[in-house]
Amino acid sequence: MSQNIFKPAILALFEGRATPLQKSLIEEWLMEPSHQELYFQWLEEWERQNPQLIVDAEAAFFQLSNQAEAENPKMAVVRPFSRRLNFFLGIAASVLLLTGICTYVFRDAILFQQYETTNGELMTLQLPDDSRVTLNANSSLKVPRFGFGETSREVFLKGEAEFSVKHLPNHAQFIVRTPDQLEVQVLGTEFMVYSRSRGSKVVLNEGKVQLRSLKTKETKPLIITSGDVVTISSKGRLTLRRDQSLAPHLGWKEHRFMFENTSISEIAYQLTERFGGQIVIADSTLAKRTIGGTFKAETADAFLQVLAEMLEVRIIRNESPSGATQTYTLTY
Amino acid sequence: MDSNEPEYHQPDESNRFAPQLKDNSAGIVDSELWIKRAFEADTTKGYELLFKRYYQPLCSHAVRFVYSKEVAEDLVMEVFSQFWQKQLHQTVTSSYRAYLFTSVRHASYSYLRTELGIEKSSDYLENDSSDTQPITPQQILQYNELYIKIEEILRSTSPQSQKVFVMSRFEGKKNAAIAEELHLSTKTVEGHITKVLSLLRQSLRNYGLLFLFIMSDLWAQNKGVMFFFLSQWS
Repeated sequence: MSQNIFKPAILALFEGRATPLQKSLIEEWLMEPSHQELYFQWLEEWERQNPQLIVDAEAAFFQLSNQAEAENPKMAVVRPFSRRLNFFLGIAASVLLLTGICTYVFRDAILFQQYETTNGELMTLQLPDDSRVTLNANSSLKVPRFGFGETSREVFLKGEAEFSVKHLPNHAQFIVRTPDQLEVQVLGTEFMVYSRSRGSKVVLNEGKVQLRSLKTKETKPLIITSGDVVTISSKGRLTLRRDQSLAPHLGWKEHRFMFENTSISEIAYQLTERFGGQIVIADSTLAKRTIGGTFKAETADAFLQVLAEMLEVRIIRNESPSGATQTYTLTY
Repeated sequence: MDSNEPEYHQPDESNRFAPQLKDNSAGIVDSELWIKRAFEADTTKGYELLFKRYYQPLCSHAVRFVYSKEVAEDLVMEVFSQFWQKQLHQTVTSSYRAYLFTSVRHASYSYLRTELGIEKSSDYLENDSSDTQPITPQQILQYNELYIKIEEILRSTSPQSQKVFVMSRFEGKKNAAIAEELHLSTKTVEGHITKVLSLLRQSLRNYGLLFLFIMSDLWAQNKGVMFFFLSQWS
């Protein structure tokens, strides 16, 4: 029975999901020859369930035994002639099937160009229509490869980005879609879209945009003008606040953080969004303290250094064994 | 195929056919029992059963390393061919499955090294002891790392490069045909392929593809076939 505990870990290994700890456990487990046999049994099973290609074993065997027959008459395997026809039909079918599978598997890669940023990284891109997009950290943008700008311009955003959209002579609409089914429609303007796990937000710099959430039955889009900030709840309800100061929403472009009576827990959240990693606040009164001001920081380390001095707290850094994620603990 | 199994399945006989393996009650040995029985009765028949049972999963595994259907199939066939020529069913101490998967991994790895120009094929050691295949847990894991790394590298290239690469390698299309299909110039197609190959070469070198030691000689004897593929991709 104990062997079956390893099966999920082994499958994770096959799929490239195994953690370093799992890997070292598996390495130890594999010392036992009978476990190696299990490993290969599961490998076979996994390959059968996730075939990377479809082959014709009959045809291949036929080919191989013909070859062997030529070299070594002992190996004669008698085959009816129709096998030859089957062989070619098999090839034709496999090629067709493969092309289908490839197109399906890579359809996203074929249809869209994807841009992605990681922890702390900003990226500015120029779209084919000369619109400009600045991607904040840990964000991704998908842009269609074909037909962009011809009738409409539709992009898919996950994370946070500022758009400076060019008005085209053909008045093609520019649409930003987010994973929570928010739709932002514009002709030409400057605005920022934020869409992460805790919700979405649209901030308008200049011009006019239309937005609606496809989650609600409400079909009439909300039209907002410069200085407006709209937040979108997880249920798709739009909340509009007019004449807002935009700087706090756009500061990220200069690696700036702007806070006004912002709690430490909120700051920790924003930091992990931007830089990844994990921040643990060891004390609940500390989590509730608020601060204000503008901070410029390009790494979580630099930011937390300043924060620690301000609040007179200590920061304990812990690295995970792989070095992939950092954990910071804030404590008095 | 497993449905054939009960025919031969007799628990008290399982140890007779695989004395080297401990009975670990997971049916590991038994699942190959009927092939072993077939080998005893008629070698040719046993070989055919073995081939038809493992050809598909082995090809699927090989292609994760070499990304070419044609190469994967050739590698697997060569492993089987060696298995036949050396009559390995008499000497293999592990399960056939473990032996075949390990050999296919070795062959794929040797192919990759030669193809990516990391090592000249003359460096292969002609070493018959590789048939016994001493393999450490570390090596087993390194093979997993290797194909996962390759997949990662390919994913990191632009979608267009991926597409061209897959069409060229996996589907075996000619550059001109790809160019026509994607409305690109042949130069661009060549550029994509060169880019991906050199990225693979560079990344795998940096990653230390050399970490795996002496590989089996199974494949070394088939250099002719290898050069055929090399010239195809260069």
